[in-house]
Amino acid sequence: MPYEIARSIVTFFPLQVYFAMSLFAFRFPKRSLFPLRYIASVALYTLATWFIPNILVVGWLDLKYIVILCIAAIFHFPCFRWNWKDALFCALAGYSVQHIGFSVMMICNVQFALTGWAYLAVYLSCFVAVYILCALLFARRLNPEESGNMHNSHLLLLVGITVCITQILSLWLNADSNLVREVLPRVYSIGGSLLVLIVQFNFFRETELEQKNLIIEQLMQQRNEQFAMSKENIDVINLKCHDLKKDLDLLLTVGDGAAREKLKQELSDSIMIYDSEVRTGNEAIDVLLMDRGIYCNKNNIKLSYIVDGKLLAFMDTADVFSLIGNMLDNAIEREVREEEGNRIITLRVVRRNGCIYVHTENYCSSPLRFAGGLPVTTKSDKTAHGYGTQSIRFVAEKYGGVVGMYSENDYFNVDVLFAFGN
Amino acid sequence: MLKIAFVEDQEEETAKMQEYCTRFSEESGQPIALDVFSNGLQFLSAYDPAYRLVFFDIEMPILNGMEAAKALYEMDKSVAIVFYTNMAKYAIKGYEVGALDFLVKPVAYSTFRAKMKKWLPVLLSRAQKDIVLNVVGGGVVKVAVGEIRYIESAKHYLIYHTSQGDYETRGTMGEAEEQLRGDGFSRSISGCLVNLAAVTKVEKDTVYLRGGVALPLARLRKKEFMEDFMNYFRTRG
Repeated sequence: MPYEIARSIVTFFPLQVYFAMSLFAFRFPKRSLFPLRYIASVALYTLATWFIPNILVVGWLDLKYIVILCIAAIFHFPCFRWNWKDALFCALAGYSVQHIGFSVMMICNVQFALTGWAYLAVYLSCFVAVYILCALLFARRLNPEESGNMHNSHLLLLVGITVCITQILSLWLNADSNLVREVLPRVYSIGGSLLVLIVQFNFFRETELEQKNLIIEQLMQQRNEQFAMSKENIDVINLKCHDLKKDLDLLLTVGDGAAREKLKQELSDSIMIYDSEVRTGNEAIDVLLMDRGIYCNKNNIKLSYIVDGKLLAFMDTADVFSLIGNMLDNAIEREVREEEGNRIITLRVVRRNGCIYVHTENYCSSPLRFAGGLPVTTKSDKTAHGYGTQSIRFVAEKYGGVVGMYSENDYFNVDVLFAFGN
Repeated sequence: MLKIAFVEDQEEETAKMQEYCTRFSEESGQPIALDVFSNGLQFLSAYDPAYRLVFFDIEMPILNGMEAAKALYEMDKSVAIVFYTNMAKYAIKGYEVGALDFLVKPVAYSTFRAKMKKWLPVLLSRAQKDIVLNVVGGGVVKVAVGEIRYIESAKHYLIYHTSQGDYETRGTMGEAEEQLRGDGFSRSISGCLVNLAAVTKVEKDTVYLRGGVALPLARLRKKEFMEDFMNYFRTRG
């Protein structure tokens, strides 16, 4: 009798699929009094599914499984804060995990031909092992914060269809009990379920993304080296200028006169151009403004800035250098192609309504083409370029910021906005 | 009429500005009145709150442009300040006075025109728009949009939380959103429409407003909210 009870619980499909779904659901925010809600949901769900009548059978096709899956999804709602797309995603993933568990169990039992308690032990172990593996391999990757992939309707449709095919294939196999013929198709069926999971978790896209991130990281590394170089250059120039100024003082103290005094002042001012106090409160921005400032000066670009550098203290120096550097460089690249009188760039890093607002604008006589919110590169070598704007977005999003780029009134604008408390 | 003040001690610059303003006014059809002051002290002692835009030279005798701008900012935070200088490095502290922008001398007319075109909507939008509310229980009140902190919806009712007090009207969030489209409002959660102008701080999951109000910011709405904020800055400078 205890065996009968244990057997009917362990082999109870609705519970298997419920817990498989929960593997994924646990990644979502839980509602208040969660343990109580969860236990109550499991109890009520078991009660509801125990008495599912067999009227849902059409020939060898049994709709019971799909119906149970839906009920399992519904009974998860009182426990987790999520929407129906989250639930659908987890239901499909859970179904695949249960299916892998079941198929692995069938293979083992066919191999060992066990009965009684041993059968049950193998049955349970197969499921537990598969569930743990799937939790580690898949569920752990699930991040409800990044719901983009999960809410992709095409993906959900594709996954839904695949699950239906797996389901029908599995039912068809059950209709024919030839043992030899059972093992091989089940391996296929495991493969199919795995495919569902792989598609859902976007392994392929991830590698592509990883490659892209690698390129951006390399660019950031280059930026880092640039930063060190620029800083060194400016330090050297400042030092030399300081020495020159001292020499000049010495040279001009011989003799006097108002004209000489004026000349001395002029010379000393022009020498100290590098020593201009660019002190924004952020070292990376200081170096950038000095470095690019010299370049802009040489190319007749008017670079103006209103910068409260302390606001960006929450970012790594390298990221600040990359973000502001890319914003300035994009603007400079555009300006050198504009007429001399019109070359103007403005940079602002200010606090507005409790947000941190980073903004550049530069004169741009012809509006740019946009794709996906970013301007399309006008440079001929598209493989190597266009990363500047992507890198701006990459850095901004790393700190939870949003990016906007737009052409307006002969100006090209880049906005980056951060909230506090990052 | 757009009233502009120009605080500058060099006569050739003031003559140039006069010419630019006249030319821009003719081209854009926007009437402009330009007043010139030769130093910060003169400007402050004759200050008229009707000015929407003040250009400050920075290097001036008696009271320099940065000091004058600071004093002006203390008095009136709604006026747009633009620095007009030959030394870019001075403007770096412009954030302390909420400066809208700054121009580096010499300024070409094409630059002036492009910048004015950009600022014009900002300068003109500082004029207040009023909305009329039919308050539940009878009566009509007129509320300036700038006074609204946020609007809360409860079933078929809306509560307008303003700096004057709370007003309850019949209506839906969709209607309120439609009425205030383009006025810088965004939802922080589905039942809360926030006046972005009233926001003092945005944190991970909370929006703080003037008057010590803290509202929740929904995880799924945050990106959209920040983008609305960005567009708000885009049109308000």
